[in-house]
Amino acid sequence: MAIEVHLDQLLLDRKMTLTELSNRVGITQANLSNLKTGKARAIRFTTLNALCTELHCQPADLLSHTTEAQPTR
Amino acid sequence: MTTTNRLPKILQRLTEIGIAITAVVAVVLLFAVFFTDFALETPMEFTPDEDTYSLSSEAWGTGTIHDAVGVVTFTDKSATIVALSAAKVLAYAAASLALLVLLRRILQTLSAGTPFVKANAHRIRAIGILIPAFGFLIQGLHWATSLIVMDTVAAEGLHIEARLTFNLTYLFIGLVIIALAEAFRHGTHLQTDADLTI
Repeated sequence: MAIEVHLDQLLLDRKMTLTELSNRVGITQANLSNLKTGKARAIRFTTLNALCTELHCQPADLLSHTTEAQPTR
Repeated sequence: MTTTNRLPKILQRLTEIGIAITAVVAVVLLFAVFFTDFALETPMEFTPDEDTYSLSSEAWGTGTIHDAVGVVTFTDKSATIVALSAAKVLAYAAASLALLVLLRRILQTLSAGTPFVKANAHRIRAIGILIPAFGFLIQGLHWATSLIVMDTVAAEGLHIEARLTFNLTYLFIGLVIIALAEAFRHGTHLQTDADLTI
């Protein structure tokens, strides 16, 4: 995927587990796992806001764009 | 929310009852075909040997009858009549059961709150194909019966012809359902998008 999610790295830096983040932002672990593994197709502004608030980061810290060819679906 | 969840469950129960009733009726009719004086009704076209028959009406004046459409009923038990009658009963039963089972499975997913799945799109499409296929099969069976009757029966003063009824209603219903299935298939894509939107 051309958009990369750095949730793993952010959680590691903040010594936080996925379960803990899930409880704090009110998003299921399954959905956060989808986001972490790049299975998610879209992210809501509300979700992005909640994640940035809890992880004390900017959207750019969470997401980045690579020039890798995007697979068609 | 409660009412929207209750309706699919009620409909599901009704289809289950429908499946049971259809199965019982099919068995009873098959029994009747083989062991009772079950009458085979065959749509035929009748033309009188005389050119026309005249009739009069106070409202419409005089008129003529050239030919007529009617039903021939046989009660004698020849092997052909038994076979055709059984085929009709089996065709009706199979189509009705298939439709009800597909409908029940769709309603099950509706009750579970997950109707927008690919399997349902396929089921709706199958219903759309099944209805015209069944319609044409029954019309074909009627026509086949008419042809057999025409070859074997002689009626005094009447010329009998096989009657091919070609009812397009089944086809239109099927096309509408197939179109809805395509819309539903698109809905399943939207559902996947929604599910994978975090």
